[in-house]
Parts: sequence; C-alpha cells; structure tokens
Amino acid sequence: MEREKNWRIGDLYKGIPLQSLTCIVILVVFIAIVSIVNRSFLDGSNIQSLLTQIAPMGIISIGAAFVIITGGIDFSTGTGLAMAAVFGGVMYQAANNNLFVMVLSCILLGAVLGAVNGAVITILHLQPFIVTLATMSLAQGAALFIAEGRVVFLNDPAITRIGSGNIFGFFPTSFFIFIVVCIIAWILLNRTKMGIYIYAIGGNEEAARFSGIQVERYKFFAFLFAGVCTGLGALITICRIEQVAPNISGTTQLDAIAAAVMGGVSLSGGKGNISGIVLGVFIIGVISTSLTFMKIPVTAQDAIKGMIILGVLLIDSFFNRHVKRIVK
Amino acid sequence: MKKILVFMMALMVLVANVACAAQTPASESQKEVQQTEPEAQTDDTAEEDEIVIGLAMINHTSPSFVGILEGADEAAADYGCKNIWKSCEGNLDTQIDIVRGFIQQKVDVIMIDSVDVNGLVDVVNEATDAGIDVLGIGSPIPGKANYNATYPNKDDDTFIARFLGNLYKDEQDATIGLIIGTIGNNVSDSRQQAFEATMKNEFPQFNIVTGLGAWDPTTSMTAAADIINANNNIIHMHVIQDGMANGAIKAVQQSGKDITMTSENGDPEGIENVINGNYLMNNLTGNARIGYWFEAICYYIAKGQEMDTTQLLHTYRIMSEEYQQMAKDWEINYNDAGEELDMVTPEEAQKIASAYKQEFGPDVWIPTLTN
Repeated sequence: MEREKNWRIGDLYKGIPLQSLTCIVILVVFIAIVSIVNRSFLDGSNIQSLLTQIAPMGIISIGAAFVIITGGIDFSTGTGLAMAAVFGGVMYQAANNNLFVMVLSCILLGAVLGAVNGAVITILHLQPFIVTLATMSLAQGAALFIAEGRVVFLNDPAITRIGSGNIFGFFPTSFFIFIVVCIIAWILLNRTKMGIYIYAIGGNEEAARFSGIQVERYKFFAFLFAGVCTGLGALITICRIEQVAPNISGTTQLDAIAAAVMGGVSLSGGKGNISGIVLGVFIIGVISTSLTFMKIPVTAQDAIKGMIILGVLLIDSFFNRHVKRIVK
Repeated sequence: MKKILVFMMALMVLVANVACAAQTPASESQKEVQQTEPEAQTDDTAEEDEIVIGLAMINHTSPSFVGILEGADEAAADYGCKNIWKSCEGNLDTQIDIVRGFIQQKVDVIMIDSVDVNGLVDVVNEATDAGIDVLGIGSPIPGKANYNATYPNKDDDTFIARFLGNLYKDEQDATIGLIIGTIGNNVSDSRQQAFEATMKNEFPQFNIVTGLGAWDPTTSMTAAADIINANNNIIHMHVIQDGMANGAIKAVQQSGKDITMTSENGDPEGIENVINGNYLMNNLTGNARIGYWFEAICYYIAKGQEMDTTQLLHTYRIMSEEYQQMAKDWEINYNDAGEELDMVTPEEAQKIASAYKQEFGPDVWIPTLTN
C-alpha cells in the first residue's frame, strides 16, 4: 500500500525515453482511429505491405539520423538512391545477372556518395546544406547518364525473395534487413566510441574539438554510414519493384528526414535515438498508408498528410514539455 | 589554400559540365545542350536554313521524357532541324526563365511541356509578340496565338472506362482502382476526369478509388498496394501511364488477388503485357512516336504551313481481337462525336509504335487543317 501511495506516473515508463513513449501513444491512437474507419487496416496483408513500404525509408532514415545528430544534413539521399539503384542494375546485367555484384554495386556507390559528401564537408569545411545540394544534382545527372533513359527489368527469384519474400511466413525480408540495420546502428551509437563522439560533436562541436575528439573523422564516418544506408535502401527498392529506372526514389528522402525528426532527432544536432527513429518511421508510414484507408480525396492527400505530421509534432512537443514537468 | 582548392573544384565542375553537355544530351538538368547533326549541314547555306527549336521540358528523369527526346532528335535529323534542350526540373519559375532565354536566342520555334499551363501564358504571349511561334505539347497552353499538340485523352479514357464498365457489368459492389500522375498536370487531370466522369455517369455501381502515382513506379506501387489492401472488393486497376503501371503491376501480382489491369501509352513493355495477358488493354501514344510528331509540327510551324492551332495525335486502342469484337458489339468504338476509334492488336501496335518515321516523316505527312 505504501508503495502504491508513493507510486508516480514516472514509474510507468522507467527506462523508456519520454520522446519514444509519446511516439508510441500517438502511433497506437492513430492506428486505432484508422482501424475504426476501415477495419481492413489491421489485416495481415496490409501490415505486411506497410512493413515492406517502410523498410527502405527506414534504412535511409537511420543513415540520415547519423548525419543530423552530428549537426549536419544530407539532401543527396533521394537522388543518391536513384544513382545507386541504376548503377546496381547496370552492373547486374553486365555481370551476367549476378546478384552479389548488384548488392555490392548498390552499397559501394552509396558509400562513395557518402564519402564524397563527408570528404568535401570535412576537408574544405563547407556547409553540409550546400554540399549535399550539389551532390544531389550530381547524383541525379549520374543516374540519367548511367541509365541512358532506359528501364531495366530484373527477373530473378533471389531478387523477388529480397523485395517481396517473407521470413517466418510473415515478416517481409526487407523489413528484417531494416531491423538488422537498426541493431547495427544502435550498437554504433550506444556501444562504441564513435557513437559517443557523434553525440558530442552534435551537442557542441567546438567543445568536442577542444576535448581532443577528431571531429572531421567522425563527421566523415557519419556521412559514409549515411551513404551505405542509401545504397542499401536503393537495393531494397529495386528488389521490391523488380526494375531499375532513374526516377524510382519517389518521396523517400523527405519521408526519411521527417521520420528521423519526428522520432526525436534534433536538427540542431546532439540528440536522437534509434528507438525513436523506428517509431518515427512507423508513424510516417502509417500516416501515408492511412490516407487511402480513410478515403481522403487524392486532391487533398498531400495537404492532409502535412497537417497530420504537424499535428503529431505539436502533440509530441506538448507532451514532452508538460509530462516532463509532472514527472519532476 | 582553402580558397584555391574551392576555385579548382569549381573549375573542374565547370569543365565536367561542358564535357558532358557536349557528349550526352540528357545527362544533366538545367543545362543547355546543343544537338548537332553533321549530316544535315553540308554547307553554309544549309546551316543558315536550319530551323532552331528550343525545347523546354519538365525533367529528364522519367524514361517517358527520354523517349520523347529521342524521337524528337530523330525527327530533327530527318527534317534538318537543330534542337536546344533545357529542363526546368518541375520548377515553373525556371521554365519561364528558359522560355525567355529562348526568346533572347531568337530560336525559330519554342516547344514547351508545361509545368503549369496558366503560369506560362504571359511568357508564351511574350514569345508570340517577339515573332517566335510556340508549340505547347501534351498540355494545351491558353496563350493568344500559340499552337498546341495534344492527345485525345477524353476519348481514350472514356473508351477504357466504357470497356471496363461493360466487361464487369454483372459485378455488384465492386471497386476499380485508378492510379494517376500528379494533380495539376493536364494530361493526368484530363485522363482522370474522363475516366471518373464516364464511370460515374454510365456505371455508377462501381466504386472508383484514385491514388497518386507521381509518375514513378515506386510511388505507384505503394499507391496500388494501399488501394488493394483498403478495398477487399477491388476487381481492376487502371493506370494512366505505362511507366507507373510497371510498379503498380508488382503490387497487383504480390497481392495474390484476382485483379485485372489496363494501362496507357503503349510503351514496349506495356504492349508486351497485353500480349502475355497481364493487361486487358493498353492505349498507344508511344514516347518516341510523339516526340517525332512534336518535332515535325515545329518544322511546319517554322515553315509557315497553314494548320489547325490544335493538333491532335491519332491514338490506337491495343487489345486482342476478341476484346475488339466485344467493343464493337457494345458499340463503344466511337467517340461522343461519332468518330470511329481505331483498335489494333498488340502485334500491329508494335509495328505502329516503331514506324513513326513512316507515319510522320518528311514528304509523307503534314499537320491537319480542318477548314
């Protein structure tokens, strides 16, 4: 009885970041609302479809988060995805339909893009905003140049297994790959020196530099990791649609950055965690899918999506401020 | 040291851009590209007579646009024209600047694939006042004296809707999915309006659910998957463009449900899908074909040929002979003006799609003039 008397609301979520808790609540409430409007939302086929859709966006979001946590930004992920995808497809054909070559090519070219971003930003001390805008154009041009306007159709059972296959009879293979990337990213951020330094650089770059941290090295690694994630996102995208074209990136880049920010990654740097990003990815994915289930007219979908995202951010901000006060 | 490095990098980028522009017409956006045709320039007189056409495109990323560019370049070689390509990457202000640039360059004709037809009216009128003819392609521009080359989207999509409505007339409580491009694009809007209006007026028993495909296969696949999952009674998916349909078909196949499909444009893979039964029908415009046709119209405009200010592309419905007979039995093979609509088999469509030089080439074709 004494324990219950002394019980506080903080006991509910000990160990869970407050940001993540509010994201979970928002997600659950939103799913409940959509399910009431259209029961098909919770059908197994839709859950599978949702998990497949969010996988490439989620992987790119993880990479983008690494860069944002250092205080930077990367606008080249969208066109970088197209460039890596086109390069992977071309190499796949050139290597006599060799899947391993395609996988390696996608990831390698994404890494090259990330390395170029990182090198230019750290060596020349230029703003990530400008550099990644430039590499965005470069990647777009490269995608067109490599593709020569062609669409390459991929016909390989292994590609189908990656893009639309399942593990344990339900979980999409692509979502499983996303979870693996999340685990690797969590280990890097929370269990390695690199992660500590990345947060420190984002929190206060000058203080980190005075502390002896090689700021340029870890910023470079952050962009390199983001590039690898872009390449992996490209691979999953082309396996999903089983074709390669220079215009396949869709709105992945914007959704990925929005998911990271919604999951608690601060645009000013130094803040963010993997669990929050995963929740942000789910929220963005659920919002995008729900518009069709709630029969929102197609003319209003973009505006409604924007309003919902804004509403979620406002609710999140409100809870973070006021619940923190209650807990304290 | 840093400033020297930055200067050297900027110089390298400039040199790379110039090198790429000289070799690959479609490799960079917002970059002037000059298409040279040495065969057409045998002497100085030929060069002076060469018609210069400025092409203001929306983007270079879509394979459809690349197909149009290729067809236009072929026509330029055949008709003795010179093309200057520029892409605005979907930005209206940039497209206006591009058109003004062409006016200053005093090109013979400006061809515009509009980002926003109403937003371009003023600059198109400027070009007309400067004595330069303008051809709006795809989406008609309501300028005071320009030409337009467009597709009979109303007839095409009305036919498709009537075909589906008659084919599935016995279905009760069924949903038909429709994947469009983008809101505000005239081609997408007109196809959507014709399809939805016909369904609503003539087959109100069907529930039409529309999704945005954004002209790319990834977004189309996502939109199609959401429509399929949200509507258990879906029986058919229509996509207004083959490029998007390439993505939507994956969603249909992966759903495991019995959903038929139709598409438009008549791209090679789109025609193949009619042959292998993945699509019930397609509609042939053809990317290289329309690019060639646009260029040919520009040539005749520059030559002062009398023609209708609005040129309409002749399109073909691609379907099996069985479906062609069914369409005739239902009497839907006529448009609302009573004109017969051409229907061809996939094999015939493949020939038409590749024979655009024979269809629109010099000395075999001139633009239409009704009066």
